[in-house]
Order: sequence, then C-alpha cells, then structure tokens
Amino acid sequence: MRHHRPTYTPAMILRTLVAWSVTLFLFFPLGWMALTAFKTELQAIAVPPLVLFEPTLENFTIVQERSDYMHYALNSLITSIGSTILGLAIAAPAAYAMAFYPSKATKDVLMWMLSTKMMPAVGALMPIYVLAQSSNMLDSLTALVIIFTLANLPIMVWMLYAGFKDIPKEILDAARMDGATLWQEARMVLLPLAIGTIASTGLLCLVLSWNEAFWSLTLTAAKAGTLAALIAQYSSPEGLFWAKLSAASLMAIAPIVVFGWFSQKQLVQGLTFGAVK
Amino acid sequence: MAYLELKGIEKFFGEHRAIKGIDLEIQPGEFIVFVGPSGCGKSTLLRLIAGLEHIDGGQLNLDGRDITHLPSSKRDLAMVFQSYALYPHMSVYENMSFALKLAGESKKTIDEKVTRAADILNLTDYLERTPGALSGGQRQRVAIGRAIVRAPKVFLFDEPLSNLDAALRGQTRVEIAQLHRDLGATTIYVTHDQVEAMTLADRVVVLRDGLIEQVGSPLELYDNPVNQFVAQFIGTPQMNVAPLAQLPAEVRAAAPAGADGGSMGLRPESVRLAEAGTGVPATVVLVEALGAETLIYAKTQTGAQMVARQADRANVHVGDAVGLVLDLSKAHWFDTQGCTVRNPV
Repeated sequence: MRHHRPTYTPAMILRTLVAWSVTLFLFFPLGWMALTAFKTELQAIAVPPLVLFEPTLENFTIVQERSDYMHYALNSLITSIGSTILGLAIAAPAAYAMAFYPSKATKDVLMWMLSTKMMPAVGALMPIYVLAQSSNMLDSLTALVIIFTLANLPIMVWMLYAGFKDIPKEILDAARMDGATLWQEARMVLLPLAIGTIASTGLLCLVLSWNEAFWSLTLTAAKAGTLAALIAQYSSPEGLFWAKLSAASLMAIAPIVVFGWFSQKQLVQGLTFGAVK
Repeated sequence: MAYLELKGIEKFFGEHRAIKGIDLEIQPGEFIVFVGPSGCGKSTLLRLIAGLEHIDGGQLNLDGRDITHLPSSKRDLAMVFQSYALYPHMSVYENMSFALKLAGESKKTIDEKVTRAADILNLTDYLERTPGALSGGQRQRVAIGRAIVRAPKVFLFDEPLSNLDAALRGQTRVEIAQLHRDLGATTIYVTHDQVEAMTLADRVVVLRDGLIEQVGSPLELYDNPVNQFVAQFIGTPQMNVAPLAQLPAEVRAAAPAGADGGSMGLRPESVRLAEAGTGVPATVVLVEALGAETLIYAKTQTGAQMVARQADRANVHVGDAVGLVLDLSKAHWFDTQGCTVRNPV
C-alpha cells in the first residue's frame, strides 16, 4: 500500500493558522472562565494572571451550599424540554400546512414570523411583564415555558418548513392513496423522512431555551429561576466573586455544552436550512 | 350502468376554472387515456378522481357509490405517480406491502400478495433493497407493484413513463399493456404523448382547457376527429391543415357548403409527391429520411404548408419544384371555428 505524503501549500498553512487564531480568540473567554472556576478568589484576581496553579473544587461546593444548584438546573431542564415539546407540537403542523398546502399568503406569513425576531425583546418587556403579573404567573415555570416557546416558534417553523419542503409531496399523496389517514401519513411516512430536521429543530430550541437569560432574569425570582438566574446571583451587591461566578457559570453551561458536543452533526444539518443535502 | 361516472366535475384554482364540467362514463375493465397538451387539466382531473384535490362541483360515482367527497384513503383506488413517489425509507417489500399493512391484512396474505406481484414484475431479487439502490425502470416497476398488490377498483397512472429514457419507455409501455390484459383492471392513464394514448387505450379522452374535446377509440379519433384541434393533436406528423383560400379552385370546389372560409385537413399519408406539373405545384422545404418512411415538407405557390409521407425513399432535394397530389376522398373539412364539417353522403 502506497501512502501519499500530504503536501502543504502556503495557502493551506495560512488558512490553518487563521482558523486556529479565530477559534482560540472565540474560545479564550470560555477557557479562562473554566480555569478561573478552579482558582481561589485571591488567585482569580491575581496580577499578572495565573496560568499555573493548584486547582481547587471549593467554589463548586460553596455554590452548591449557598444556592441549590439542582433546583435551578431542574428549572432549566423543565423549561427547555417543555418549550421544545410545546414548540414542536405547534410548529410541526404549521410547517406541514405551509410546506405541503401553500397558499398565496404563505410566504408573507413566514416573513412576518421571522420579522418578529428582529424586534428587541426589551420592546415587549412591559406588556409581557404586566400580562404575567395580572395572570399571577410571575416567577412561574409555566410562564417561562410559554414565553420560550413563543420566542422560538418563528425559527422552529422556518427550520421545519425548510426541511419539509425537501420532501416531495407526491410521497405523501402516495401514502394517502395507499389508505393512510392523516395521522398514519404523519407517523409512518413524514416522521421517518423528516426525523433529521425535527431532531435538529428540537435540539436548537433546547439550546436556545437553556441559554435564555433575559426573560428568566426579569420574570423569575427564587422559585422558577433557571441557571441564568443562578449565575446572576454571583454578580451580587457584595461585589464580584470571580471564582464563584465562574464556577456557577461552568456548572450552568456544562450540561448543554456536553449535549451540544454529541448532537453537533444534527445541529449543523438543521441550521443549513436544507441547503445542503 | 357505468362503473366510474363523472358528472359535471368542476375544479377552481382561485378564480381560474381549471376543470369546466366534465362528464364521462367508464366501464369496468376499460383502459382510458387522458391526453392533451400541458395545462389542459388532465393531471388535475386524475387527481380529482384520486381525491388528492377537492372537487368543487359535480359528482363522482364509483361502483354505484358517491365518492365525490370521500378522502383518498377510502376510495380504494391506486395511483402510479410520475416521480414514482416510493417511500425512500422503506425496502421494496415494505413499499409494496404498505397499503396491505394499513388495511390490516395478515402477514401471510401480505407475503403471498407481495411475492406474486414481485414475480409478475421481475422484482423478486430486489425486495430487500431500498428505492435509492434501484434503477429508474426498477423504481417504476415497484411503483406499479405497489398499485397491483392491492387489487384496487381503479388504477390511476399519472404520466408514468415520462422519467424513463426512450428505449425503456417503449418497453414499459408494452409491459403496461400486457399487465392490463392479464389483470383486466379498470385503468385511467394520463399522458401528453399521443403515441402512448394510441397504443394503450381502449378509449382516448382528448382534453383542452379543462374541457373534453372528444372521446373515442384511438382510430375513431384518427379517422373522424370532431375538430381541428383533435385532428392535429392525434397523429405524427400533424395533419396538414390549410385555409381553403390558399388551395386551388378544384380543391375548393370539393369542400362541403359549411366549410366556406374554413380550411381543409389532410393526413400526410394522403398527400402524394409527383413530378412538377401534376397536382398542386409546390417547392420542397425539408426532407426527413427516417429509413422506413420519408417525410417531405413542401410549400405550395399559394403559401400553404404540406407534409407528404411516403414509404419509399424520395429522390428529391430542398428547393426542388414538385407537384402534390391530394387524395380528397380522405380530406377533413373544418369551418371557420375549426369544427369538422362532414361531407354530405
């Protein structure tokens, strides 16, 4: 067996260098945060910054003692999964109708839905806060699930729409002719064909909901606070505790980063909006 | 009583009236072909019968039952699509057994029926493959297999051969004809290819702009078209049609009274090429030598275009002066509206 020796052209070396620099630049804050989480508060603010030190786990214990991590993590889990399921339940039929039975208004409706994402969330703060307050839903998981769902719906409908569009309608027609009811058609034909799209849409919604901070911070307190609220506690009136803030942040993002790592193939597939097969 | 009966079937797309009231009666076992130029509504009509589009007016009866508003899944019809529309995530076996599975047939019955269909269609070796691993012709056969395992009341074919190459198309056409002879199932077949229509059909339905122009056996349509549209749609090359004004006096004299100001149609095989000086004087514009036959395109001195078809090879060249002998006993006469005027017998 002959092995081809890889040849490196200057352009390839340059591209690799640029790619690595950009990646390191983007990753640096996260990496530094992870490093800081294992320092003592003193080491965390040392000048010049310490790169080599003896790691400690005390920040994690303190964070867990002072604020119940599991409580916030559970809230994050409930709101993320809840809004993903609710979102898929609403977005999938909408995307089905628009992809397979388009009307003259379909394009406009899609654009209108997307345009709502262009408005800053703060713009809707007042009405939503008042709505939540008057319906007694401040600091409740239900309110968060509903708001996360609404915030993610446009992007979910778009992704599912793009994925469904790639499936020839004649295949669904064929299922009808074969005697399938609407439900059988959806379950036995559409679902297996669109499972990639549905999975990546769900994953994205899960990640977006998990990372959501604005509404969690403004609409919740102790009871329904998500991990975003947990992190915020450590930039407190008593001053910044860098090491503990970092530890809390690390604990908050760790699950979703691990999750994202394993599902990145699905995510990328969905985010290319069906442009690449 | 008719088996499948269309009564005043209508379809609107927005304001556009795509199907304008179709009446048609189809007998059991008949092979009906819907033919017409693109946009004539033939595929829409098939989808209306299939229940894939909503019928906006009229009534559809099948075997004595009103199925106008019944969903496709309850109509007991099978359809072969232009794109085959196989389920890409299922094996050939699963594709063919899907309908039976939905109908709740036992595993044993399903196995028997699929095996038999696979045998008829030469698919036995491919049952475990997915459609992606099959050639175009094999996919086409799976699509047909999926339809025949169900033994439906009516088979619907929507331009099933248009994705195949010419050689395979001819071969599959013969197979479909044979299949229909063997199964004797009522079939509706949509095509824009009049050769398929002529070779497969018991009766051909010629459609234009959402209306039926004529229904009849292939040769009926060829010999007695009701108007200029049908006359020119059926047959290749097209029937020659020339305005009477462009034809010599002796031709005009033969025209029936109703054809005044109209035109005359003559099939290419009824035009014979002769020496210059006999018949209608003309100049050769194009010669197509097809081997078994030769087509000579000529233009008369009065400006009429004519095609002559002859079985032997022609020793003429572009630009030659020739004479065209017209067999007026075979002529079709059309009035100013393009409707056929019959010669008084």
